[in-house]
Amino acid sequence: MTSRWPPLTPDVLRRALMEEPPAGLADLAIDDLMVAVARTPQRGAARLAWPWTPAMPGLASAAAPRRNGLTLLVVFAILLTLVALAAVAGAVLRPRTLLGTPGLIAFDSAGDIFVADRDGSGARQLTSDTRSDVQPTFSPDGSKLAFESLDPATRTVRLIVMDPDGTDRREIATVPAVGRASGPAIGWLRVAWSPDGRQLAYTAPLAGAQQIVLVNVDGSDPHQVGDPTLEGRDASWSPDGQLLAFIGGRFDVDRGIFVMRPDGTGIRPIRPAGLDQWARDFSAPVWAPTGQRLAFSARIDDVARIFVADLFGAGPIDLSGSEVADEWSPVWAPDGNRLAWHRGPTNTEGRFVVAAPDGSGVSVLAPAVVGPPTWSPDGAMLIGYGLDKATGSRDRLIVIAVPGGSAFEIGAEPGGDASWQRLAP
Amino acid sequence: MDTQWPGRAVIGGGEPDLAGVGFEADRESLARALVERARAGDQSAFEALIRSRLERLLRLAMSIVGNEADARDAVQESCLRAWRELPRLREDGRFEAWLWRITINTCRTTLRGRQRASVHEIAVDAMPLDFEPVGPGPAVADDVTVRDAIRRAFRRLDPDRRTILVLHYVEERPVTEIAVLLGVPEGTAKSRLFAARTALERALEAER
Repeated sequence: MTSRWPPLTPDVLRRALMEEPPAGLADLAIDDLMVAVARTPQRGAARLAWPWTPAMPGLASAAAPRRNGLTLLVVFAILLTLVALAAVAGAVLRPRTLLGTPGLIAFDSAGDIFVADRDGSGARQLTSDTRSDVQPTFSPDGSKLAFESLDPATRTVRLIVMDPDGTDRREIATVPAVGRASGPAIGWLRVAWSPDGRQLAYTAPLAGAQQIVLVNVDGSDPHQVGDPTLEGRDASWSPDGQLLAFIGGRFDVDRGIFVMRPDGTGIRPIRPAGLDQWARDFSAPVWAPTGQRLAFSARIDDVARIFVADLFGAGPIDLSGSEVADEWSPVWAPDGNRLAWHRGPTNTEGRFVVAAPDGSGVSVLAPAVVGPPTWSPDGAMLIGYGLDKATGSRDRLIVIAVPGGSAFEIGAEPGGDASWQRLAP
Repeated sequence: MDTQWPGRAVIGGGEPDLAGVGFEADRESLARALVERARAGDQSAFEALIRSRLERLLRLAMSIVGNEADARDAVQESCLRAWRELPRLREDGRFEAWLWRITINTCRTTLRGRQRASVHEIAVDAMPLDFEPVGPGPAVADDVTVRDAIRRAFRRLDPDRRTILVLHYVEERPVTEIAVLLGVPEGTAKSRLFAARTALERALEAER
């Protein structure tokens, strides 16, 4: 078959692909930029206190020149301390597992929060206002629901906790929205309940950088944790509540996974040799329900891949089955025996993959979905999302039986991820 | 226009344009001096560094992300990051490559934004990446038809393929430079460029 198109010469491509900025845009942009620069402090020359490989040639880090015997000794002592803590935690605070009974499904649709029964029926609206309410997240015992609410008028994002029927609504934190030329936006704000349900970890822009903040469920004692010179976001609590894992790093090209104690001490990177210095686009780390292991995805050599890292052993293990397709956002099944993640190119529907944590027993589920997946508390189902082909937006929740096919769908326009209420077994 | 030479005090309306007049070494020295001052907190030096590159940065970002609003956001975010992180830049001479790399990564992150786990960008008037089906069209495509079809096909590519195509065909960078900017071996950059071009051709064939 002969192509109807002329040869794609470099000149043809250049003229087609080049988007020229409108006249005057650069002047406007420089004015905006310098206003922002005037408000933005530069980072000091303080250097990381732990081993750190700068991803950018030429990017300063005093870690390398100072990586002497003393530093290694300090790091070794920290590791020993963490090992000891983990041993104690493992013996005394071994987390309860694991499977629960599925309760309500919470989701957002067109900027409001809804819940539906476990079979997708009886959807009811819990919020109705001019703000954009997204990302409902059940507390570990299923008694509370946290969500984020973007108020374009005040350019703020509020963290709100309420009962699963929409009553007893409490605003427990307010953070600035992300400023965009196109308007305010919710950015990078992932809420993580502590295992005892008493605290929430969230991400807030402080002094121009993303930081992890802990707040009590009643809104008291909000405080930033960790090294204020190290960006942090998307925290995840270990099942025993003794550690937080998070995405950290100086800026996008230098990001990685870190862990620390909830008081902000004992920060260390989870970036073993298997992840080269060009790893980027890390997904939020998720703890295995049995502790000690973390799953996350990272883009290596421009392909997003799934990793499981053992905090105190070997790792990470690369679970990805495809050398070419992106695989991202792994989530542990409630019993810790399986992981589910999304396989497929970005911005298009792909498939959920389910596998054991060692990469064996891979199942690729049939329904076309975008993710990340959400497990049901009994580990029998996964929630994904369907795309409206015309707009590219999510237009429904697709609940998939594992390892079977599609179970049911819920019509919605979700901007965030769903959450499944865990009831006692 | 005030002219700033290395070692002199006054910063005017940007780096002097010395291209093509045989002053490459001086230009490089000037840029290094500006970087040195900017990393010490001199905002006017940073403005001079950015002003002379902003048009190209905006063109790069618009070509990759495909709309003005996102491109402005990406460039502003990238430049702010550069300002914030500048004290950590070890080699003054690498400023431009460093700035470009931050901008490329920000553009790719912008394009991936929707699908990243737990990231919820709710832009007030986000521009959809529409790719409407094309009608039968003329037997011999005219220039405008060809350009529009290539753009639609381009928008169907993933962020990494868009990026490498823009770097090579819009910015006219050789593979060696692209490899440095993307942080991959030269052979990898070459094979990715080939794959991206093949993907574009396939996407274009679907534009009927």
